[in-house]
Amino acid sequence: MAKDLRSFIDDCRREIPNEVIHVNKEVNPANYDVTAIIKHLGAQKKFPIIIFDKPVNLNGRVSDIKLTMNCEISQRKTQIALGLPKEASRPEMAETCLEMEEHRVPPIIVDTKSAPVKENVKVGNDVDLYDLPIMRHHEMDGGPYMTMSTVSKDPKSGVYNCSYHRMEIKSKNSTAMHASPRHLWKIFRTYEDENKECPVATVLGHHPAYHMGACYSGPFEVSEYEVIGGYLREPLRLTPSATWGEDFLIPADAEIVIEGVLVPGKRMVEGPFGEAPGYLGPQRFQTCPQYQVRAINYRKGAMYQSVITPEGDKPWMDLPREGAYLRRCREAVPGVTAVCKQGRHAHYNVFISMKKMSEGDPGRAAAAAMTFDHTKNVFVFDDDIDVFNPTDILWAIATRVQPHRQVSILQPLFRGNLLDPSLVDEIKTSGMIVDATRPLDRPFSPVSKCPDDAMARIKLEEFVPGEVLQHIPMDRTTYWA
Amino acid sequence: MGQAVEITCPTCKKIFVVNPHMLGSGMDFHCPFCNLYFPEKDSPKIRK
Repeated sequence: MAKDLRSFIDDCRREIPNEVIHVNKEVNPANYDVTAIIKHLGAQKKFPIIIFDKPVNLNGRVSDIKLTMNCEISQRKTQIALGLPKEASRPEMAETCLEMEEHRVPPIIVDTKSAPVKENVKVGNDVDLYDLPIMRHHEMDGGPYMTMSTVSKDPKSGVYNCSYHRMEIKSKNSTAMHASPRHLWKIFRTYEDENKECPVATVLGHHPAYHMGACYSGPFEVSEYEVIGGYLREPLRLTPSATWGEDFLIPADAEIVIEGVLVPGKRMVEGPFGEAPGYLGPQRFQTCPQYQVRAINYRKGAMYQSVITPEGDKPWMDLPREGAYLRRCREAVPGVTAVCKQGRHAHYNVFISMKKMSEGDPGRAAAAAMTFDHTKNVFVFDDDIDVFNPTDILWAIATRVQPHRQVSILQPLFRGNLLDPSLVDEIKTSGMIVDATRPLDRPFSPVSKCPDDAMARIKLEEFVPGEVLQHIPMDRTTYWA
Repeated sequence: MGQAVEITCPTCKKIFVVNPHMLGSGMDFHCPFCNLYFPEKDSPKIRK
Protein backbone atom coordinates (compact mmCIF):
# COMPACT_ATOMS: atom_id res chain seq x y z
CA MET A 1 0.00 0.00 0.00
CA ALA A 2 1.32 3.42 -0.91
CA LYS A 3 2.43 5.77 1.87
CA ASP A 4 0.00 8.54 2.62
CA LEU A 5 -1.18 10.66 5.52
CA ARG A 6 -3.37 7.83 6.81
CA SER A 7 -0.54 5.29 6.86
CA PHE A 8 1.61 7.84 8.72
CA ILE A 9 -1.05 8.44 11.35
CA ASP A 10 -1.46 4.67 11.73
CA ASP A 11 2.31 4.38 12.23
CA CYS A 12 2.15 7.10 14.89
CA ARG A 13 -0.77 5.41 16.64
CA ARG A 14 1.37 2.30 16.87
CA GLU A 15 4.66 3.97 17.89
CA ILE A 16 3.51 6.99 19.92
CA PRO A 17 -0.14 6.30 20.74
CA ASN A 18 -0.39 9.15 23.24
CA GLU A 19 0.58 11.65 20.57
CA VAL A 20 -2.41 11.15 18.31
CA ILE A 21 -5.56 12.73 19.67
CA HIS A 22 -9.01 13.57 18.39
CA VAL A 23 -10.99 16.68 19.27
CA ASN A 24 -14.63 15.73 18.89
CA LYS A 25 -16.04 19.08 19.89
CA GLU A 26 -17.00 21.51 17.14
CA VAL A 27 -14.29 24.10 16.37
CA ASN A 28 -14.21 27.07 14.04
CA PRO A 29 -10.76 27.20 12.43
CA ALA A 30 -11.51 30.57 10.83
CA ASN A 31 -12.16 32.06 14.26
CA TYR A 32 -8.76 31.08 15.73
CA ASP A 33 -10.18 28.13 17.73
CA VAL A 34 -7.57 25.75 16.35
CA THR A 35 -4.73 28.24 16.75
CA ALA A 36 -5.66 28.78 20.40
CA ILE A 37 -5.83 25.05 21.15
CA ILE A 38 -2.42 24.48 19.60
CA LYS A 39 -0.94 27.49 21.39
CA HIS A 40 -2.29 26.28 24.76
CA LEU A 41 -0.79 22.84 24.18
CA GLY A 42 2.46 24.30 22.91
CA ALA A 43 2.82 26.36 26.08
CA GLN A 44 2.99 22.98 27.85
CA LYS A 45 5.52 21.72 25.29
CA LYS A 46 2.95 19.28 23.93
CA PHE A 47 2.60 18.84 20.19
CA PRO A 48 0.39 15.82 19.48
CA ILE A 49 -1.11 15.17 16.09
CA ILE A 50 -4.61 16.59 16.49
CA ILE A 51 -7.47 15.44 14.32
CA PHE A 52 -10.37 17.85 14.58
CA ASP A 53 -13.43 15.75 13.78
CA LYS A 54 -15.95 18.57 13.55
CA PRO A 55 -14.33 21.67 12.08
CA VAL A 56 -16.60 24.36 10.72
CA ASN A 57 -15.93 25.28 7.11
CA LEU A 58 -15.96 28.76 5.59
CA ASN A 59 -19.64 28.32 4.73
CA GLY A 60 -20.31 28.14 8.48
CA ARG A 61 -21.26 24.46 8.46
CA VAL A 62 -19.58 21.48 10.10
CA SER A 63 -17.36 20.09 7.38
CA ASP A 64 -17.28 16.50 6.20
CA ILE A 65 -13.55 17.05 5.88
CA LYS A 66 -11.51 16.72 9.05
CA LEU A 67 -8.69 19.06 9.97
CA THR A 68 -5.35 17.49 10.90
CA MET A 69 -2.63 19.51 12.61
CA ASN A 70 0.87 19.13 14.07
CA CYS A 71 2.11 16.29 11.85
CA GLU A 72 5.19 18.38 11.13
CA ILE A 73 6.30 19.01 14.70
CA SER A 74 8.78 16.93 16.76
CA GLN A 75 11.80 14.89 15.94
CA ARG A 76 10.14 11.57 16.82
CA LYS A 77 7.30 12.05 14.35
CA THR A 78 9.81 12.85 11.65
CA GLN A 79 11.79 9.73 12.54
CA ILE A 80 8.62 7.69 12.15
CA ALA A 81 7.91 9.34 8.81
CA LEU A 82 11.39 8.54 7.54
CA GLY A 83 11.52 5.04 9.03
CA LEU A 84 14.34 5.93 11.42
CA PRO A 85 14.86 4.63 14.97
CA LYS A 86 14.17 6.94 17.89
CA GLU A 87 17.88 6.87 18.74
CA ALA A 88 18.74 8.65 15.48
CA SER A 89 20.37 11.98 16.27
CA ARG A 90 19.44 15.15 14.47
CA PRO A 91 22.70 15.21 12.44
CA GLU A 92 22.08 11.57 11.48
CA MET A 93 18.58 12.52 10.36
CA ALA A 94 20.01 15.30 8.20
CA GLU A 95 22.49 12.81 6.71
CA THR A 96 19.55 10.55 5.91
CA CYS A 97 17.78 13.40 4.13
CA LEU A 98 20.90 14.03 2.10
CA GLU A 99 21.06 10.37 1.16
CA MET A 100 17.38 10.28 0.20
CA GLU A 101 17.75 13.36 -1.98
CA GLU A 102 20.65 11.68 -3.77
CA HIS A 103 18.68 8.46 -4.31
CA ARG A 104 15.75 9.96 -6.11
CA VAL A 105 12.95 7.66 -7.19
CA PRO A 106 10.99 8.37 -10.38
CA PRO A 107 7.20 8.55 -9.90
CA ILE A 108 4.74 6.12 -11.42
CA ILE A 109 1.45 7.00 -13.08
CA VAL A 110 -1.78 5.30 -12.06
CA ASP A 111 -5.14 5.70 -13.72
CA THR A 112 -7.77 7.82 -12.03
CA LYS A 113 -9.74 4.76 -10.92
CA SER A 114 -6.75 3.64 -8.86
CA ALA A 115 -6.21 7.09 -7.37
CA PRO A 116 -7.90 7.67 -3.99
CA VAL A 117 -7.74 11.44 -4.49
CA LYS A 118 -10.13 10.99 -7.42
CA GLU A 119 -12.90 9.57 -5.25
CA ASN A 120 -14.51 13.02 -5.37
CA VAL A 121 -13.84 15.58 -8.09
CA LYS A 122 -15.54 18.96 -8.25
CA VAL A 123 -15.15 21.20 -11.27
CA GLY A 124 -16.73 24.36 -12.66
CA ASN A 125 -19.48 25.88 -10.55
CA ASP A 126 -19.23 23.01 -8.05
CA VAL A 127 -15.82 24.26 -6.95
CA ASP A 128 -16.17 25.84 -3.51
CA LEU A 129 -13.13 26.46 -1.33
CA TYR A 130 -15.51 27.56 1.40
CA ASP A 131 -16.45 23.91 1.90
CA LEU A 132 -12.98 23.33 3.35
CA PRO A 133 -12.13 23.85 7.06
CA ILE A 134 -9.61 26.55 6.25
CA MET A 135 -7.91 28.30 9.13
CA ARG A 136 -7.35 31.87 10.02
CA HIS A 137 -3.98 31.39 11.71
CA HIS A 138 -2.98 34.65 13.42
CA GLU A 139 -4.40 37.95 14.54
CA MET A 140 -4.15 40.50 11.70
CA ASP A 141 -4.02 37.80 9.00
CA GLY A 142 -5.69 39.20 5.90
CA GLY A 143 -8.11 36.27 5.81
CA PRO A 144 -8.22 32.48 5.93
CA TYR A 145 -5.05 30.96 4.51
CA MET A 146 -3.92 27.71 2.96
CA THR A 147 -0.30 26.96 3.87
CA MET A 148 0.67 23.71 2.19
CA SER A 149 2.82 23.12 -0.88
CA THR A 150 1.97 23.83 -4.50
CA VAL A 151 3.12 21.95 -7.61
CA SER A 152 4.07 23.70 -10.83
CA LYS A 153 5.65 22.46 -14.06
CA ASP A 154 8.36 24.14 -16.08
CA PRO A 155 6.94 24.50 -19.62
CA LYS A 156 10.34 24.06 -21.24
CA SER A 157 11.79 21.06 -19.44
CA GLY A 158 8.58 19.50 -18.12
CA VAL A 159 10.17 19.28 -14.68
CA TYR A 160 7.81 19.49 -11.70
CA ASN A 161 8.53 21.87 -8.84
CA CYS A 162 6.97 21.72 -5.38
CA SER A 163 7.18 24.64 -2.99
CA TYR A 164 5.40 26.29 -0.09
CA HIS A 165 3.52 29.52 -0.72
CA ARG A 166 0.91 31.01 1.51
CA MET A 167 -2.48 31.60 -0.14
CA GLU A 168 -5.20 33.91 1.08
CA ILE A 169 -8.73 32.81 0.22
CA LYS A 170 -10.38 35.56 -1.80
CA SER A 171 -13.55 33.87 -3.05
CA LYS A 172 -15.04 30.41 -3.39
CA ASN A 173 -12.80 29.78 -6.40
CA SER A 174 -9.84 32.12 -6.10
CA THR A 175 -6.91 32.84 -3.84
CA ALA A 176 -4.04 35.30 -3.82
CA MET A 177 -0.72 33.45 -3.76
CA HIS A 178 2.37 34.98 -2.21
CA ALA A 179 5.04 33.73 -4.60
CA SER A 180 8.54 34.47 -3.35
CA PRO A 181 11.13 34.92 -6.10
CA ARG A 182 12.27 31.33 -6.43
CA HIS A 183 11.48 28.37 -8.67
CA LEU A 184 7.68 28.69 -8.88
CA TRP A 185 8.04 32.39 -9.62
CA LYS A 186 10.47 31.61 -12.44
CA ILE A 187 7.99 29.11 -13.88
CA PHE A 188 5.06 31.49 -13.54
CA ARG A 189 7.00 34.32 -15.19
CA THR A 190 7.86 32.05 -18.13
CA TYR A 191 4.13 31.51 -18.72
CA GLU A 192 3.31 35.12 -18.03
CA ASP A 193 5.84 36.39 -20.58
CA GLU A 194 3.78 34.52 -23.19
CA ASN A 195 0.50 35.70 -21.64
CA LYS A 196 -0.39 32.12 -20.75
CA GLU A 197 -2.02 30.71 -17.63
CA CYS A 198 0.36 28.80 -15.37
CA PRO A 199 -1.09 25.43 -14.23
CA VAL A 200 -0.66 24.70 -10.53
CA ALA A 201 -1.94 22.20 -7.98
CA THR A 202 -1.93 22.51 -4.20
CA VAL A 203 -1.61 19.39 -2.08
CA LEU A 204 -3.54 19.68 1.17
CA GLY A 205 -2.65 16.49 2.98
CA HIS A 206 -0.12 13.74 2.31
CA HIS A 207 2.55 11.69 4.06
CA PRO A 208 5.15 13.89 5.83
CA ALA A 209 7.83 12.50 3.52
CA TYR A 210 5.93 14.14 0.66
CA HIS A 211 5.99 17.47 2.46
CA MET A 212 9.67 17.08 3.33
CA GLY A 213 10.51 16.42 -0.30
CA ALA A 214 8.51 19.51 -1.22
CA CYS A 215 10.88 21.51 1.02
CA TYR A 216 13.84 20.47 -1.14
CA SER A 217 15.85 23.45 -2.35
CA GLY A 218 18.14 22.11 -5.00
CA PRO A 219 18.83 22.82 -8.66
CA PHE A 220 15.91 24.00 -10.77
CA GLU A 221 16.37 21.11 -13.21
CA VAL A 222 15.65 18.42 -10.61
CA SER A 223 12.11 16.98 -10.61
CA GLU A 224 10.84 17.35 -7.09
CA TYR A 225 8.38 14.51 -7.63
CA GLU A 226 11.52 12.34 -7.89
CA VAL A 227 12.97 13.92 -4.75
CA ILE A 228 9.72 13.15 -2.94
CA GLY A 229 10.06 9.55 -4.14
CA GLY A 230 13.50 9.52 -2.51
CA TYR A 231 12.02 10.70 0.77
CA LEU A 232 9.17 8.21 0.56
CA ARG A 233 11.63 5.45 -0.43
CA GLU A 234 9.07 4.38 -2.99
CA PRO A 235 7.72 5.85 -6.23
CA LEU A 236 5.28 8.69 -5.70
CA ARG A 237 2.02 7.66 -7.34
CA LEU A 238 0.71 10.29 -9.72
CA THR A 239 -2.52 10.51 -11.62
CA PRO A 240 -3.89 12.76 -14.37
CA SER A 241 -5.38 16.02 -13.18
CA ALA A 242 -9.02 16.86 -13.83
CA THR A 243 -8.03 20.02 -15.70
CA TRP A 244 -5.08 19.01 -17.90
CA GLY A 245 -5.14 15.20 -17.84
CA GLU A 246 -1.73 13.61 -18.34
CA ASP A 247 -0.17 16.96 -19.18
CA PHE A 248 -0.20 17.80 -15.49
CA LEU A 249 0.00 15.00 -12.97
CA ILE A 250 -1.07 15.24 -9.34
CA PRO A 251 -0.35 13.00 -6.32
CA ALA A 252 -2.77 10.08 -6.39
CA ASP A 253 -2.65 9.40 -2.64
CA ALA A 254 -3.10 12.95 -1.40
CA GLU A 255 -6.06 13.76 0.78
CA ILE A 256 -7.07 16.86 -1.18
CA VAL A 257 -5.60 18.42 -4.33
CA ILE A 258 -6.72 21.79 -5.62
CA GLU A 259 -6.07 22.48 -9.29
CA GLY A 260 -5.95 25.92 -10.79
CA VAL A 261 -4.05 28.50 -12.77
CA LEU A 262 -1.96 31.53 -11.90
CA VAL A 263 -3.42 34.25 -14.08
CA PRO A 264 -0.95 36.25 -16.18
CA GLY A 265 -0.89 39.99 -15.59
CA LYS A 266 -3.21 39.79 -12.58
CA ARG A 267 -1.98 40.66 -9.09
CA MET A 268 -4.04 40.65 -5.91
CA VAL A 269 -3.61 42.32 -2.54
CA GLU A 270 -2.64 39.66 -0.03
CA GLY A 271 -1.71 39.68 3.65
CA PRO A 272 -0.75 40.44 6.30
CA PHE A 273 0.08 36.91 7.37
CA GLY A 274 1.90 35.60 10.44
CA GLU A 275 4.96 33.99 8.92
CA ALA A 276 7.58 31.39 9.81
CA PRO A 277 10.02 33.82 11.49
CA GLY A 278 7.29 34.74 13.97
CA TYR A 279 6.30 38.15 12.58
CA LEU A 280 3.46 39.38 10.44
CA GLY A 281 4.42 39.63 6.81
CA PRO A 282 2.90 42.92 5.56
CA GLN A 283 0.20 43.18 2.94
CA ARG A 284 1.57 43.24 -0.61
CA PHE A 285 0.64 42.58 -4.22
CA GLN A 286 3.68 42.71 -6.51
CA THR A 287 4.49 38.99 -6.35
CA CYS A 288 0.96 37.85 -5.58
CA PRO A 289 -0.75 36.43 -8.67
CA GLN A 290 -4.37 35.43 -8.67
CA TYR A 291 -4.84 31.66 -8.32
CA GLN A 292 -8.09 30.70 -10.05
CA VAL A 293 -9.29 27.33 -8.84
CA ARG A 294 -10.57 24.98 -11.55
CA ALA A 295 -11.04 21.69 -9.70
CA ILE A 296 -10.95 20.15 -6.23
CA ASN A 297 -10.08 16.46 -5.88
CA TYR A 298 -10.51 14.76 -2.51
CA ARG A 299 -10.72 11.35 -0.92
CA LYS A 300 -13.63 9.89 0.98
CA GLY A 301 -13.20 10.95 4.60
CA ALA A 302 -10.56 13.45 3.53
CA MET A 303 -8.31 15.18 6.04
CA TYR A 304 -7.29 18.77 5.40
CA GLN A 305 -3.81 19.64 6.64
CA SER A 306 -2.40 22.97 7.68
CA VAL A 307 0.63 24.29 9.52
CA ILE A 308 0.93 27.04 12.10
CA THR A 309 4.22 28.86 12.19
CA PRO A 310 6.37 29.34 14.17
CA GLU A 311 4.75 27.00 16.68
CA GLY A 312 7.10 24.18 17.74
CA ASP A 313 10.22 22.92 16.02
CA LYS A 314 9.40 21.71 12.55
CA PRO A 315 12.03 19.18 11.55
CA TRP A 316 10.12 18.29 8.38
CA MET A 317 10.83 21.80 7.12
CA ASP A 318 14.35 22.20 8.48
CA LEU A 319 15.87 18.78 7.87
CA PRO A 320 15.84 18.84 4.06
CA ARG A 321 17.69 22.13 4.19
CA GLU A 322 20.12 20.89 6.81
CA GLY A 323 21.03 18.05 4.47
CA ALA A 324 21.64 20.55 1.67
CA TYR A 325 23.79 22.70 3.96
CA LEU A 326 25.81 19.66 4.99
CA ARG A 327 26.49 18.88 1.35
CA ARG A 328 27.59 22.42 0.53
CA CYS A 329 29.68 22.96 3.64
CA ARG A 330 31.43 19.62 3.30
CA GLU A 331 32.34 20.41 -0.27
CA ALA A 332 34.25 23.36 1.20
CA VAL A 333 35.51 21.69 4.40
CA PRO A 334 35.28 17.89 4.74
CA GLY A 335 35.53 18.12 8.54
CA VAL A 336 32.05 19.62 8.94
CA THR A 337 30.20 17.37 11.40
CA ALA A 338 26.76 18.96 11.75
CA VAL A 339 24.66 21.87 10.56
CA CYS A 340 21.71 23.21 12.51
CA LYS A 341 19.08 25.29 10.86
CA GLN A 342 16.36 24.58 13.31
CA GLY A 343 13.13 26.30 14.13
CA ARG A 344 12.16 29.91 14.46
CA HIS A 345 15.48 31.20 15.76
CA ALA A 346 17.46 29.67 12.96
CA HIS A 347 15.46 30.77 9.95
CA TYR A 348 18.31 33.08 9.03
CA ASN A 349 20.98 31.65 11.33
CA VAL A 350 23.07 28.62 10.51
CA PHE A 351 25.13 26.83 13.15
CA ILE A 352 27.98 24.64 11.92
CA SER A 353 30.24 22.32 13.89
CA MET A 354 33.49 20.95 12.51
CA LYS A 355 36.77 19.23 13.19
CA LYS A 356 38.97 22.17 12.28
CA MET A 357 42.09 21.04 10.44
CA SER A 358 43.40 24.45 9.46
CA GLU A 359 42.84 28.08 10.31
CA GLY A 360 40.49 29.41 7.67
CA ASP A 361 38.35 26.27 7.60
CA PRO A 362 35.53 28.05 9.48
CA GLY A 363 35.56 30.88 6.93
CA ARG A 364 35.33 28.45 4.00
CA ALA A 365 32.45 26.51 5.55
CA ALA A 366 30.66 29.75 6.44
CA ALA A 367 31.11 31.10 2.94
CA ALA A 368 29.57 27.91 1.53
CA ALA A 369 26.58 28.31 3.85
CA MET A 370 26.19 31.94 2.81
CA THR A 371 25.60 30.88 -0.79
CA PHE A 372 22.42 28.98 0.04
CA ASP A 373 18.84 29.68 0.95
CA HIS A 374 18.28 32.81 3.06
CA THR A 375 21.33 32.57 5.25
CA LYS A 376 22.21 35.81 7.03
CA ASN A 377 24.32 34.85 10.05
CA VAL A 378 26.68 31.89 10.24
CA PHE A 379 28.20 30.62 13.48
CA VAL A 380 30.98 28.04 13.30
CA PHE A 381 31.96 25.86 16.26
CA ASP A 382 34.31 23.03 17.16
CA ASP A 383 32.88 19.54 17.10
CA ASP A 384 32.57 19.37 20.90
CA ILE A 385 29.73 21.89 20.65
CA ASP A 386 26.25 20.48 20.12
CA VAL A 387 24.84 22.92 17.57
CA PHE A 388 21.32 21.84 18.50
CA ASN A 389 21.86 22.96 22.10
CA PRO A 390 21.43 26.73 22.61
CA THR A 391 23.38 26.63 25.87
CA ASP A 392 26.39 25.08 24.16
CA ILE A 393 26.14 27.69 21.41
CA LEU A 394 26.02 30.65 23.78
CA TRP A 395 28.81 29.22 25.94
CA ALA A 396 31.13 28.86 22.96
CA ILE A 397 30.34 32.35 21.70
CA ALA A 398 31.05 33.74 25.16
CA THR A 399 34.30 31.86 25.70
CA ARG A 400 35.88 31.26 22.29
CA VAL A 401 35.21 34.51 20.48
CA GLN A 402 37.15 37.75 20.53
CA PRO A 403 34.73 39.88 18.55
CA HIS A 404 37.33 42.14 16.91
CA ARG A 405 39.09 39.09 15.47
CA GLN A 406 36.37 36.52 14.97
CA VAL A 407 33.24 38.41 13.98
CA SER A 408 33.06 39.45 10.32
CA ILE A 409 30.34 41.76 9.06
CA LEU A 410 29.54 41.27 5.38
CA GLN A 411 28.24 44.03 3.15
CA PRO A 412 24.57 43.82 2.05
CA LEU A 413 25.35 41.86 -1.10
CA PHE A 414 23.03 38.96 -0.49
CA ARG A 415 19.46 38.33 -1.55
CA GLY A 416 17.61 38.24 1.72
CA ASN A 417 14.21 36.90 2.57
CA LEU A 418 11.10 39.00 2.17
CA LEU A 419 9.91 37.65 5.51
CA ASP A 420 12.87 39.08 7.42
CA PRO A 421 11.49 42.09 9.32
CA SER A 422 14.97 43.48 9.92
CA LEU A 423 15.62 44.24 6.23
CA VAL A 424 16.27 47.90 5.51
CA ASP A 425 16.73 47.29 1.80
CA GLU A 426 13.91 46.01 -0.37
CA ILE A 427 15.46 42.55 -0.64
CA LYS A 428 19.19 42.63 0.05
CA THR A 429 20.67 41.71 3.40
CA SER A 430 24.06 42.04 5.03
CA GLY A 431 25.60 39.07 6.78
CA MET A 432 27.70 38.04 9.73
CA ILE A 433 30.16 35.22 10.24
CA VAL A 434 31.16 34.31 13.77
CA ASP A 435 34.12 31.97 14.06
CA ALA A 436 33.61 30.45 17.51
CA THR A 437 36.26 27.79 17.09
CA ARG A 438 39.36 27.54 19.23
CA PRO A 439 42.58 28.68 17.57
CA LEU A 440 45.04 26.09 16.30
CA ASP A 441 47.99 28.47 16.19
CA ARG A 442 48.25 29.24 19.91
CA PRO A 443 47.55 27.47 23.22
CA PHE A 444 43.96 27.60 24.45
CA SER A 445 42.77 26.55 27.89
CA PRO A 446 41.24 23.07 27.90
CA VAL A 447 37.61 22.57 28.86
CA SER A 448 37.32 21.59 32.52
CA LYS A 449 35.77 18.21 33.17
CA CYS A 450 35.59 15.22 35.47
CA PRO A 451 38.17 12.64 34.38
CA ASP A 452 36.72 10.04 32.01
CA ASP A 453 37.92 7.15 34.18
CA ALA A 454 36.18 8.61 37.23
CA MET A 455 32.94 8.95 35.29
CA ALA A 456 33.24 5.32 34.20
CA ARG A 457 34.24 4.09 37.69
CA ILE A 458 31.55 5.84 39.69
CA LYS A 459 28.13 4.27 39.23
CA LEU A 460 25.58 6.83 40.35
CA GLU A 461 23.06 4.25 41.56
CA GLU A 462 25.60 2.92 44.12
CA PHE A 463 25.65 6.33 45.81
CA VAL A 464 22.21 7.74 45.04
CA PRO A 465 19.83 4.79 44.86
CA GLY A 466 17.22 4.72 42.12
CA GLU A 467 14.36 5.07 44.59
CA VAL A 468 15.91 8.32 45.84
CA LEU A 469 16.88 9.55 42.39
CA GLN A 470 13.43 9.11 40.92
CA HIS A 471 11.95 11.45 43.52
CA ILE A 472 14.41 14.27 42.93
CA PRO A 473 12.52 16.63 40.64
CA MET A 474 14.08 17.80 37.43
CA ASP A 475 14.95 21.47 37.98
CA ARG A 476 13.32 23.19 35.04
CA THR A 477 14.44 26.60 36.29
CA THR A 478 18.09 25.79 35.60
CA TYR A 479 17.97 26.99 32.01
CA TRP A 480 21.67 27.46 31.56
CA ALA A 481 23.02 24.16 32.80
CA MET B 1 8.43 42.51 4.37
CA GLY B 2 11.57 44.09 5.54
CA GLN B 3 10.06 47.49 5.73
CA ALA B 4 6.57 47.69 7.15
CA VAL B 5 4.25 50.68 6.87
CA GLU B 6 1.42 51.04 9.37
CA ILE B 7 -1.99 51.84 7.90
CA THR B 8 -4.98 52.92 9.96
CA CYS B 9 -8.35 51.71 8.70
CA PRO B 10 -10.83 54.57 8.12
CA THR B 11 -13.74 52.49 9.42
CA CYS B 12 -12.60 50.39 12.37
CA LYS B 13 -9.53 52.55 13.12
CA LYS B 14 -7.39 49.47 13.66
CA ILE B 15 -3.81 49.42 12.44
CA PHE B 16 -2.29 46.86 10.08
CA VAL B 17 0.97 46.58 8.16
CA VAL B 18 1.65 46.80 4.43
CA ASN B 19 4.74 46.65 2.26
CA PRO B 20 6.04 50.12 1.24
CA HIS B 21 5.41 49.18 -2.40
CA MET B 22 1.71 49.42 -1.70
CA LEU B 23 2.04 53.19 -1.25
CA GLY B 24 1.30 55.06 -4.44
CA SER B 25 0.54 51.83 -6.30
CA GLY B 26 -3.15 52.56 -6.82
CA MET B 27 -4.05 49.22 -5.19
CA ASP B 28 -6.66 49.41 -2.44
CA PHE B 29 -5.61 48.40 1.05
CA HIS B 30 -7.53 45.56 2.67
CA CYS B 31 -8.30 45.90 6.36
CA PRO B 32 -7.87 42.43 7.91
CA PHE B 33 -10.07 43.39 10.85
CA CYS B 34 -13.24 44.72 9.20
CA ASN B 35 -12.66 43.44 5.64
CA LEU B 36 -12.90 46.94 4.13
CA TYR B 37 -11.05 47.67 0.88
CA PHE B 38 -10.10 51.34 0.70
CA PRO B 39 -7.80 53.67 -1.24
CA GLU B 40 -4.68 55.14 0.31
CA LYS B 41 -6.16 58.64 0.54
CA ASP B 42 -8.92 57.38 2.86
CA SER B 43 -6.55 56.20 5.57
CA PRO B 44 -6.57 58.67 8.49
CA LYS B 45 -2.99 57.82 9.38
CA ILE B 46 -0.07 56.24 7.56
CA ARG B 47 3.09 55.72 9.61
CA LYS B 48 6.24 55.06 7.58
